[in-house]
Amino acid sequence: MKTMSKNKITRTTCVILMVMASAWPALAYPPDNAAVLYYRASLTYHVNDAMTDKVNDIVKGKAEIDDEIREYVKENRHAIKYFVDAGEASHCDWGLDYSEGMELQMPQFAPLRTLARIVMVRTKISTKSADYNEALDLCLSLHKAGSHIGGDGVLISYLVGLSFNALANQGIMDILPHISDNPEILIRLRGQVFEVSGKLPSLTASLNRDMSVCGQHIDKEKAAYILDELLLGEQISKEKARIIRQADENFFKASKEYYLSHQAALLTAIELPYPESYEQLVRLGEKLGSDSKDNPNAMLTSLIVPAIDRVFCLDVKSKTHFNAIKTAIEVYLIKARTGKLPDALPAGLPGDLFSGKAFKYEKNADGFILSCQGKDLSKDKIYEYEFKVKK
Amino acid sequence: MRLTEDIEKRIKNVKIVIDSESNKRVFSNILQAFRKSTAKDLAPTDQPNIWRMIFRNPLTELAAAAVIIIAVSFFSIHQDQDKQERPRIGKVKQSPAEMMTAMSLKIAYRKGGIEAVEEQYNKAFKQLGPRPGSLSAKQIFAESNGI
Repeated sequence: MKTMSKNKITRTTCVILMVMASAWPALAYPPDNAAVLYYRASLTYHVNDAMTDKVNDIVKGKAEIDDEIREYVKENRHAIKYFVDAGEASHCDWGLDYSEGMELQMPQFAPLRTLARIVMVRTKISTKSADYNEALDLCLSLHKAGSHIGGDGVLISYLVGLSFNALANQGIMDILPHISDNPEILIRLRGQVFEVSGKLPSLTASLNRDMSVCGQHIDKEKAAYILDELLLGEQISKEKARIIRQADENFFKASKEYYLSHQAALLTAIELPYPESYEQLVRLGEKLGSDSKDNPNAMLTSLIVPAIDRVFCLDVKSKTHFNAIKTAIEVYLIKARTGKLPDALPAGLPGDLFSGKAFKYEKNADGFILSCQGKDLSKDKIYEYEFKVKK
Repeated sequence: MRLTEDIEKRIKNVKIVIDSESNKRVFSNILQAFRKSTAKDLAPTDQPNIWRMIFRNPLTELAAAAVIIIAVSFFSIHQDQDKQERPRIGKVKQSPAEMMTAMSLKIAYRKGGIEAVEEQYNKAFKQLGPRPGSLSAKQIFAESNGI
């Protein structure tokens, strides 16, 4: 009898535990899929055209924070929370059906870009009130969103993600002088930056995905859609579009072959060191341009492949900026430990991706400057990053 | 009578061969004859001058001016409407959904970089209109009771 009653208690306990265990994942927050929270944030933020303009001005440094904007940011606190929490999720599946090809709908990025700027303003508010940990967490959430958007997506997603990374880099740069004497926050930031670095989206993966998605349309039946769009965007003449529409299967077969060989050449080129890579990408672009005039099989490829050399330079620029931030954190930590800036950069720090060398380090009255040793060849420009030190 | 019957008989028996050359020749003869007669009919000396008649009488002059004004304004209004209603060739409007496809956004990027992509998004969302604001439990209950 005793055993029976004991058995009953054990059984009931087991059942309760099993029910709790099975229900637990459903109640877990944040969810595994970041997209759920990004979509939720997009639905929750307060749309206000006048305030959106003001937010843009503040982000660009054209306006100052006032009570009105503080109130607007406060109204959006729930959306900001979902946005930040999404960054903690292990993966991001936007629920896109890539088999739709270039007809794929991508409305999710627009509200997120607006929201990213609101997050940026909140970062500035937190910095003003000396809540640097919160300000940095917000910046890093922008980096994480950039990776979630740009990772595994098509080229447009990658570019949107890159714009988030650029925003985050600028945000961190603005906060760094305020924490230059605080080793605790600097060490915390170093850990966070290290974590984000490993998740930065890859241009190769994105380009590969994009070209596969575009390639679906080099087909007699599916070409109509892109031709209509190109006509609307005034990217193709009516005559050219008419010729392609009337082309036979052999034309599309040969066009696809050309497209795939161009794709392979691009993917090989972006793996080279920057100067060689840029040179090769420019050459491939020029070859495509001249081929499209003489070789009908190159026509469709020239219409759907954007200037990859420009995208590549943006990618290198963003990653170089992030490397400069990582280097600066180490310099600030030396300053916090020793009380003065080092005379030279320590070895083994991440460098400038334009030259593949370490940054050029120069002290000045306000702090220090990290300069690239290689040019952004698309703009014929050498980037310099100025970091100030708290006096 | 005999002559008439004879002519009728001949006409019945005649074989008419129609070829394009004779067609052209006949048509040009008719046209020439018509032009000659029209020119003669409308000779200025033979025709009364309608404008002179109108302007001789102040009342008809006023009425003619009114008719001209009405006709001109009617024509110009209709022309404006035509301009507004006629879709621009090569610039057919896209729906917001079409504006946010990968292809459409890619074209925007080709034209003006990430700013152009954003502009395209703004246009699309403007067309979609404002999103519903927060939905309270009270509203849901009110709607459910109404069903």
